[in-house]
Formats: sequence, C-alpha cells, structure tokens
Amino acid sequence: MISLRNVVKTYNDFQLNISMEIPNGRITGLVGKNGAGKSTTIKLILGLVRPDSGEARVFGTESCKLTVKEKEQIGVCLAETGFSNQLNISDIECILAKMYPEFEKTYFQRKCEELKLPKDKIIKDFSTGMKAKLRVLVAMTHKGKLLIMDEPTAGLDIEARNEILDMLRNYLEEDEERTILISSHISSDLENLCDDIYLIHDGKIILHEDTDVILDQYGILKVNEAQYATLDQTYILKSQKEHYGYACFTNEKKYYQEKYPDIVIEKGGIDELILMMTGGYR
Amino acid sequence: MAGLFEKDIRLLLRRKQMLVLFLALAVVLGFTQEGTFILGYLPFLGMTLTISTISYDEIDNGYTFLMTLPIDTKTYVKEKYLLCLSGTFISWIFAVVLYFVSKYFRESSTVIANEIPMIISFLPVMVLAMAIMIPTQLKFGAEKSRIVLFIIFGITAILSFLFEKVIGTERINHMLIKLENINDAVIGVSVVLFVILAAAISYVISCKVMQNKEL
Repeated sequence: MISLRNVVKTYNDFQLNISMEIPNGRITGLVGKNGAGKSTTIKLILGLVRPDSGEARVFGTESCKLTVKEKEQIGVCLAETGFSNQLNISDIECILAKMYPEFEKTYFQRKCEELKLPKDKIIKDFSTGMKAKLRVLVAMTHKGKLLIMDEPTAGLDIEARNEILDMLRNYLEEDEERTILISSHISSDLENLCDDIYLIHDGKIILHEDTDVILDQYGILKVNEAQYATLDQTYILKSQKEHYGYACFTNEKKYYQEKYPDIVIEKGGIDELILMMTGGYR
Repeated sequence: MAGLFEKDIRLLLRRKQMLVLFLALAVVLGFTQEGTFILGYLPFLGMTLTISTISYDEIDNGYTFLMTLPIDTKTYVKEKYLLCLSGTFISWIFAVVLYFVSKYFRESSTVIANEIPMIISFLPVMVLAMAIMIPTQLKFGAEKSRIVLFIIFGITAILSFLFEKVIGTERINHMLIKLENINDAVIGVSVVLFVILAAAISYVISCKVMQNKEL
C-alpha cells in the first residue's frame, strides 16, 4: 500500500532518510518526538513534498504522480489544517459530495449529529475538539482504502480522543482491506489501536516492531552499579545512567526475568520505547 | 473541479454583506458618475473578489490540505482562471446594463452600436490584469503580492513616462494616427490574440508556480 525506499529529504538543518513498507489491512503507527520527521514523512507519502532522492509510492504509484482516482481512495487528516475556517458543515458536505463520487452523505450527517457538530456554525467558532473530530470525519466519509492521519488526537481531552479512536476502529471493521497510517505522540492511543509501530528520531527510523511484541517483550531493567557490571548485555537495546544506577531497555524482558529474578523490570510501553530509544528517559 | 467551484462560490457567498454593499455602491456610482467609470470599476471588483479566494486557500496551510483532495495542481489553477474570468465577465455584463440604463436616463437617446467597441475594450484590459494578478498571488501570497503588484504597475508607469520622454509626444501622436488608420478588424483580432497569448503564458506560469510549491 505504502512504500518508502531510501527516501531522503533535506531542509536547512534537518535531514530525513527513511525506508518503510506498509501492507494492506494494517494500522501502522508512526511515533517520535516533535520535530523527529513524522509530518515530513506523511507529506512525502502524500506527494506534498518531493524527495531529494529515493522513492515514495502509494498504491504502486509515485506519490507526486498520484492520479485523481487514486487520491479518491485516500482520506487525509492533517494537524491544524483543513477546509477554510469560514465554511460551515453544510458547505463542507456539499463540497465533499462534489469532490468524491463515493461520498456517504447519510453517514456524514449521522456522524455530525452523534459528534455534536453544529451544521450552521462556521468552523472558526468550533472548539479544538470539534475541529479535530471534523477533520477525522472528513477523511473517513468517502470509503477510502487508505487513511493517513497526522496527530489526529493532539490537544484533545480523553473523551474526545476516545471518540476519534472509536471512529477509526469502526472504520476498519467495515472493511478489513483498509489501511491506516497514524502519527501521534500520545502512546496510549497507539497501543490500543496499531498493529505495528515505526519509531522515528532525528529523521531516521530507529525501530520497527509489532505493537504486541513491544507490549509483551520490551521492558526496562532498573539496576544498580553492581548489577549493571554483571548484566548480560545481549538483549539490551539502550542503557541510560540514572541516580539509582542504570535504566536498561530490552526487547527480551522474559529472558531477564528468568535469569535475574531480583532485578526490577518495568513494562515497556510505547512511551518508554520513545523515551529510552531517543534518550529522554527519566 | 466541481468541488473547487463549490468551495469558492460558498466562500464568496460568506461575504454576502460586502457583495451587496459593493453592488449598491456600483448602482449609485453608475447613476451619479459620468462616463465609463462603472465599466472599469465593477469588472475589476468582480475580478479581485474572485482572486481573493486564493487568500482563503492560503490561510492556515490550506494549500497543504487542498492538495490532498482528489485534484491536481493544474486543475486547481484552471479553476482559479475560470472562476476569475466568470466573475469578471458577469460583473462586466452587470456594469454594461447599469451603464446603458443610467445613460438612457441622462441622455434619452443613445446609439448602442457606437458604444460597443469602447465597452468591449474593457474586457481585454481586465484579462490582462488577471494574467498578472493570479500568478503573482499564487507565487507571493496575499500580503507580498500587493507589494509585488505595486512594483509591477509602478515600473510600468515609469517605463511609459520614460517612453514618452525618449520618443517625444509628437512621434507618439504620429504613431497613434497611424494606428487609427489600421483596419478595426485587424486591431480587434490582434488584441484578442495578444490577450489569449498573455492569458496562456500566465496560466503556464501559474501551473509551474503551483507545481514547484513545497507544501
């Protein structure tokens, strides 16, 4: 569905250099700190920016050459951008009906009611949560095969985030061939939703793993100086000096649980993964 | 393209009050101002209003989102030219009607046929202005394009002044007399061809500007 091969994009003081493969029917998460390159990656996939070298393809077509028919199969939700703030939902409904042959008017209207999105109020007067819900809804109402969502839940309260995640889950249930690429730095959203995770840092993919594997097998060993000196380093991905000794990130939690029953081992979620792998763990 | 038209027309209708105000002003000016002022004023207003939809697309990284919709840059540019041409033409028709109605009330007898070349001459001027304004706005954005347009029209004025100084008024008058002797049909066709060429060049430049835009 999506393929990035050795894609390089250079800005003044930043270089993105990545490869990714996202097959059909997957929900893939793209995580990383602010400025890691998530949005640039998404723009490359959508053909909004051209790579300096390498190849970005969607549906087998070069991203910059996506046809109108192929774009009709993609739903996009970008952070902080969408239809003009001067329009209201009735306007957007009419525009989408003209843009997408497969636009589901009834579904759109029903969802607007469920999400309490007022039809005649201009978007400028919407709350942050309402704007975010609308952006997601706009991406989902034309039976697209691919959803690309850049920080769809950023800045939202827990209730609004759950509503959006439910919408995404339902969307996938309707058609198993659908694929979602979602970027976020809110780990709990991704842990409950994604099949696999790409971790991006300083413009490079530093880890790609199935979410289940991360949750089951990754962990943080908290060891003192003496324990660290004798610790088997085979499955330690990264270590960081702490006030109590060392925090060691592993992808073989069970191995260490069996071999060192005295060591404190914490669960390795996506937050820990980001923090340990990008050097910000405390 | 239908979706883009729908978007732009709805955006224009959001400014209903301003549109009504402009039209009311046009009616007042049409009946109070002598001469052809209304024939230039109203189409220019129509043109700038339709071009202003580009500003809406530009705000809040709007281009980035628009280009994820099932359209390409060429369709986007084509729609802007068609919208602008339609807006200019419709407001020109309205201006012509106002012009004749006001003239009828003032002069009671008017030979419409004598006025047609003068009335039509406003259209190529508008198309030429559009050919400069659309690519400028696409390239520089709403704010900077005002400065760029000011510079372009300023340079044009300076060049015209220098042309008159270098060539001399007498020679220019001589050239104008020669032009008057040329067949009207030849002038008409030349103007039409020139305007079409300018609009085509402008369209190609606008497409290049949009294609090279990194969103």
